[in-house]
Amino acid sequence: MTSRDKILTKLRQTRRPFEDIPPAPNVYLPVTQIQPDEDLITRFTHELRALDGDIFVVNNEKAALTKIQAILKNHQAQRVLSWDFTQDLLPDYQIIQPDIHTSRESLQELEKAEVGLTRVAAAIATTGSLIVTGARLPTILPPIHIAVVHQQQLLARLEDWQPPNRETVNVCIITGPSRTADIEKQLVLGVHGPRHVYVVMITSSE
Amino acid sequence: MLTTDKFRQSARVAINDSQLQTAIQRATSRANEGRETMMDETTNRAALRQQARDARLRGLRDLPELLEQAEAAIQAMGGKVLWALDTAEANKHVLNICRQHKLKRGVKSKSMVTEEIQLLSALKTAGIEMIETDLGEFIVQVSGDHPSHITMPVMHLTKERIRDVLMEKDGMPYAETAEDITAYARQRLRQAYLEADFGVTGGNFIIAETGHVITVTNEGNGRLTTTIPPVHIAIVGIEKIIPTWADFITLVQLLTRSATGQRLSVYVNAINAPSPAIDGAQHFYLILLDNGRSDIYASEYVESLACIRCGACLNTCPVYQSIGGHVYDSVYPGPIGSIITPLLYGKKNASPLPFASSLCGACKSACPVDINIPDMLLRLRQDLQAEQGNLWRIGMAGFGFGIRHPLLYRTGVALAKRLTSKNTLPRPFQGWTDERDFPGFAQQTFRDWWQKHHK
Repeated sequence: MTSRDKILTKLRQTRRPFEDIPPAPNVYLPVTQIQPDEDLITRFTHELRALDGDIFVVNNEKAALTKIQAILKNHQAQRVLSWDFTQDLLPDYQIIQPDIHTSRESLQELEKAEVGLTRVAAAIATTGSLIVTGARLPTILPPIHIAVVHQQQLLARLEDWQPPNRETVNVCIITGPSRTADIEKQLVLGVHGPRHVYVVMITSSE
Repeated sequence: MLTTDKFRQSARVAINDSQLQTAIQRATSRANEGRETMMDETTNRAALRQQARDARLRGLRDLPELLEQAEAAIQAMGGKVLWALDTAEANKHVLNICRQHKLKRGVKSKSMVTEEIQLLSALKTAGIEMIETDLGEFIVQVSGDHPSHITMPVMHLTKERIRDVLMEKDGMPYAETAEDITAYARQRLRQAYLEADFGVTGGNFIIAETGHVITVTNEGNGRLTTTIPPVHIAIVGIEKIIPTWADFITLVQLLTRSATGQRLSVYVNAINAPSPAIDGAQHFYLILLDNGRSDIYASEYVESLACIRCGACLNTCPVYQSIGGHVYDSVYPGPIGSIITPLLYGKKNASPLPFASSLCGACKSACPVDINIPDMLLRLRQDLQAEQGNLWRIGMAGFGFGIRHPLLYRTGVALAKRLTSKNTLPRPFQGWTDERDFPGFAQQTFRDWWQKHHK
């Protein structure tokens, strides 16, 4: 008998614990509070800034690109790691765009990027979170992460998000810049992940 | 083996260590404030705890089916699932994977299970390097120390001590602030990441319906460990499984609110398969560890398996607040650790732990899944007494005999009155009154009073 079968058999041989637990609810009680008329961008801004992240609200993609360039300039950044934005969109900057052929040896090269630029799958107002299902390295490798979010992607609560199916190999819920309080409970940002997280929010006015 | 004498001795040292007391006080009081604020601002604290508890208990009720469901999902997506009966088999699986992929250098994000199976020493014996990447755990590893808290491994160390250790043993240049020390660690560990050929993580949860293994970190080391190296091995206890994402969404928020007073930790990372491109590991292994859990599952202590390792019971416990984590001498310290440790390592090997509690119930109140810790501690005490409590049984039998015989009773009371006149107990019981007063017997007994007044 394999270890797998031994474990499963043993678990099945015993009397089932907690048989009186009710079935899963149809609707779960959400964790965070939000007023029905509360403005989601205002709430998201408040939460993200409390975490030391920042947000800029613009009203179209073009304005978003202008804002991204302003952030890059502000940080004197040149190299941008991105899956979602191509070189032609940011001609003045070096877009590092790994693909399926990128070898592991080139990691040292990717590591030189100062900024990771991504889109998101969703954003959560009450927690100031970004949900990313595509790019991984751009969200975690460089010291700065810029995320472009469309207003329609902004949800009130994590409970409002449609969870991923099996085919979504990786999901990351990112809430603010990387942080630690391991040393004497002092807050330090940018431990392994980015020190700066910027959101460029595109409103759906047009 | 942790004896009562050893426990008492190290507790006494801890209580008299003023630096440690300051550190514990600072860490636990902040954690408690953070947890209370964050739990109170939710929609309905009591109802959410019940919802979270039910989710965990459904996970345990359906444990074998959910494990199979997760396994099938991961395999369908190209990941591999291995099962380990005990620590030896878990380590053997890791070493086999290392051999198969010719892995030499690993990075590890914070995980209690890998401490439980002592993975680092197994890898070291096999000549494989492994570096801890959680800042606290990295400091612990460099200093050859042990973590003293589930979520705050080096809360017992001062900044100065950490600086000295990293300068002496890791070649760190002088660093003034916590920020400087962290910057050094970032650079140092980033290089380790880029050179690593495999990454090891634990898992806070496994979501059965899609097979996703969740790692929750604030520093981002969990996400880097699963993203940079080409091979990712997750080692998770079989009890960590929950049925659905909906369950997870409640649980993860209560976990982070209870652990660190955050609405969410910075990186909640979910993975169920290898990555097709450079962006993530091309090989994904999940090792499901039993190591005594199926025994606990079949016992009256099954509820202890619902623990989500937030550390709230440690922070709120008056005993933990007095002695810190090291005195428990276990990977799992504090109130929940005092249940898990004797169950995993044998009751006789951890016999003082169930008694290291005032049964005040603070742990149960703080627990986000409402585990009845005091009740289980009490039952463990009973078990231990039944196993080794002859002296107690003889004493109680003697007492029973004495109170049924008036002459013996009267003599006993007269003797007790004299022996306890200084509010202490005589030898060999004086240990009990070394640190507390014994309420002396009244000079006039009720019997005497009755005879005087009602004759």
